[in-house]
Amino acid sequence: MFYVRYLFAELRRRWGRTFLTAAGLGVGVALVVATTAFSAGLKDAQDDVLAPLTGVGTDMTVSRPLTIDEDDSGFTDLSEEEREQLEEENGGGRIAFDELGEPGEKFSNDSLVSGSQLSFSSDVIQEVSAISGVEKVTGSLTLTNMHTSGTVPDISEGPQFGVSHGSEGDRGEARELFGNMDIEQFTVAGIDASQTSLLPVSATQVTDGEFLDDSDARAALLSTSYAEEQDLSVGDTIEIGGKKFTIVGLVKHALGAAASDVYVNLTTLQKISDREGRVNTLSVRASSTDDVASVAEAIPQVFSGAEVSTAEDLAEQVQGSLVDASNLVDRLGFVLKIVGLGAAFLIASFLTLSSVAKRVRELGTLKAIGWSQSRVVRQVTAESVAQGLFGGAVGAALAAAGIAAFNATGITLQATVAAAPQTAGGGPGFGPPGAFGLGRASTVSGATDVVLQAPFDLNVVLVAVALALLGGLIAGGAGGLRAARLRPAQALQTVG
Amino acid sequence: MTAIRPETNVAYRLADLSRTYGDGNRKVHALREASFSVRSGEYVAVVGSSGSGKSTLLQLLGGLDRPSSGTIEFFGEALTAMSERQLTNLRQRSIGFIFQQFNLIPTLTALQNVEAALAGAAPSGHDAARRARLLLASVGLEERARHLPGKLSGGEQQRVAIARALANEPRVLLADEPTGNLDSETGRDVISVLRSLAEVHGQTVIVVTHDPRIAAGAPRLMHMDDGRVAESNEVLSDGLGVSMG
Repeated sequence: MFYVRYLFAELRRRWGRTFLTAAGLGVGVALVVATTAFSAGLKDAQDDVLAPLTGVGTDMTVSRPLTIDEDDSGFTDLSEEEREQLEEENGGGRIAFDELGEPGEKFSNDSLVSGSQLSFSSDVIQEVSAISGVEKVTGSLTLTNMHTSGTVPDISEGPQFGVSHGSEGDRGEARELFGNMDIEQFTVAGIDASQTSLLPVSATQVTDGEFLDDSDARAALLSTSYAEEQDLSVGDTIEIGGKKFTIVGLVKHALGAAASDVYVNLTTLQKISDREGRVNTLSVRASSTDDVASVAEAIPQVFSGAEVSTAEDLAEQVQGSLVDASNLVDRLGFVLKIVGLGAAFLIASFLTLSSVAKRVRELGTLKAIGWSQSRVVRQVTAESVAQGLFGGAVGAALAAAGIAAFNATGITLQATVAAAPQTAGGGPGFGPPGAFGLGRASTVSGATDVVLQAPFDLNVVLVAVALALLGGLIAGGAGGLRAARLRPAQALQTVG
Repeated sequence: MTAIRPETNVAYRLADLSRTYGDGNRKVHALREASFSVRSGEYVAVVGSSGSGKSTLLQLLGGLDRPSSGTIEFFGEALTAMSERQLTNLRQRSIGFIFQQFNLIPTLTALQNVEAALAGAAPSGHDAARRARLLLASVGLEERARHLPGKLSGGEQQRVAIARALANEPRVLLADEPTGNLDSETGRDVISVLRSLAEVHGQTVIVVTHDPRIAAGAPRLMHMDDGRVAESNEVLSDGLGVSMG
C-alpha cells in the first residue's frame, strides 16, 4: 500500500529525525520501565526479608505478655486466675535448693519454664477463629529449658528464686549464689507440625535433615545457630525437660524472625512441661490483607491482655540500606517516571512539530495533487505513531539491557534488625540473672545482605510503549492538523 | 463531489476575479477584477514580471486559494462556491499542477512520486504502479524510476513532476514557471514534452512564465501587470511590454 511505503520511506530516509525522536521516547520509556523494575526489585527484596518475620503465611501473632509496672508493684495487669496460673507454671522454674541436697553437695536439675509470656488455654484458638476475617489460627508453646548444675548453696538466710518479685538486694544475693552453679538454657517451641501452612518455621527453612513429623513425639528440629553453638547435628540427641529427643533436622531462620533454638511437637512439649492444653503464642492468618487491621483490633476484645503483632509492626524493625533505598524509590520513583515520560513526550512533540514545520510545503503539495486534509493528518500521525512504536521498542531494549546489566552487577543492600526489647525480661526477681526473655522466642537480630534483582515486567513495558504511542499520536495529530489546515497556496509558499 | 459537465466547451470562465492580501493600509491587490475565458484544450501562456500576480491567478484557477471577490467557473461549475472536499476532489481528478521548484517528495522515488498522485484515485496499488511506470516512460524516465529526486537532474525532476501532474488524466494542466529552475535547453525539452503530451490528451494548459521563448510558442498569450490581466497578440523579444488589451 502506498501510504505504508511512504511512511517507511519517511522513517528510513529521514533517519536522523527518526533516530532522535525514537531515542527521546526510548529514554523516557526505559526510565519508566527501569524505575518500575528497580522498585519491584526492592519490594521483592523487602518481601524476602519480611516474609519470615511472622512465619509462613502468618499475618499476625498473638501473645499474652507479662508486664511489670514501673513502680515495681508486680504484675498488676493479671487477673487472679492468671496469677494463679503463673504461680503454678513457674513452680517448675523455681529452684528449690533445699530439695536438691545439703549445702555443698553436687546437684543437677532440668526444668521447662515460661517467662515473659503467659500461657493460655488453647480454647482461645477457637475464640479467635470465630472472629470475622480470620481464616486460620494455630497455637504454639515456647518455653525455656533450664539445665542447672553445681553445688547446692547455703540458702538458710536467702530467698527462694523463681518467678517472684524481689528487691534490688535480693538480686545481688542471687548473683552471689548463682556463682556456684552452671545454668544452661535454650528456648524450645512446641509447634503443631500438621499445620504446615501456618508455622513459625517451615520445611523450606530446613538446611539439613527433614522437617518435623507430627507423629514423631521424640523428634526435634534445631536452629542452625544453636546447633553450631552446641556442636550438634542431625542424628544427635538433645535433652529437653530431662527427656531425650533425636535431632531430625536443622532450620535456618531469616533475619528478624521470631526464633527458638529447638522445635518439637506441641503435644509432646505440653505433656513434658505439664502444660497440656496450653499455648502461649497464636499464629493468625486473615482472610485478606484488608482484614488484618480489623482482626488485630478484635482479638484483644475476645482475649483480654493479648498483644497482637502484625507483619507491619515487625517490618518496622528492619532498617538498613535496603529500607533507605526503598524509601528513596517510594519518594522519587513516581517523580522519576513522570519526569521521564514528560521529557520523552516533550522531546517527541518538539521533534515532530519541528519536522512537520519543515514539511509544510511538502504537505501543501500533497493537498495540491488531491490529498484530503484528513489523509494528510493521518499520514503524519501514522509516521509519529510508528516513531512512537520504534521509540517504545528502543526503550524496551534499553530497559532490558539496563536491567540485565543492573542484575549482573549484583548490587547488595543490607537489612538490619536490632534485638527486640523484652517485655518483662528485666523484671526484678525474674528467675536467675541473665534469664531475660525466658520462654519467649527471640528475634533474630543482626544484618543480612540482599542481592537486588530487578524483574523485567512485560506489562510495564507494554504500558510504557502504549504511552509512547499515545505521545506520538498526540504530537503527530496536532502537528499534522496544524499543517494540513493551511490552504495549499499558503503551504506552497512556505520555505521548507 | 461536483459533477463536471463534459459537454461544456469552456474550461474556465472568470468574472471580476480579485484577490487581496492584508487589510487597511497594508492591502496588496494581487489580482484585480480579472475577467476572461479559456476554451477546453487551449494552450495559454501568462506572462508578467515578478509580483505581477501570475502565481496568484494560477492558485485561484487550481482551487488552491479562494478569491476575495468574483467568480470562477470550471467547465460550467462554480469553482468558487465549492467546499474544501469538492476542491480536493477537483484537484485530484481534474487538475494537474507543475511547480517551478518541482515540489517532489524528497523521500519518495520518482515512481513513488507519481504514485502519490494516484494514491487516492487508483483502484489498486498494482495498477497505480503500472500506470506510474507508463507515465515515467512517456517522459523518458523509465530507467530513473527508482531514483530519489535528489539523484535526478533539474530537467528530470521537472519531467517527473509532469508525469505526476498527468497521473489522473486531468482536464487542465496548470504550470507555474515550469522552466524557472532549468537551463534554456532543458527548459525547451520540458516545454516540448508538456505540449506534446497535452496535445495527445487534449488537455487545457495554462502556463505562467516570464520566459519569452515559452510565451513565443504559445497560441494564446495573456499579460499580467500589477494584478491586471490583458490579452495580447504581440510579444516583444524580451516578453515584456506587450500591449494591453
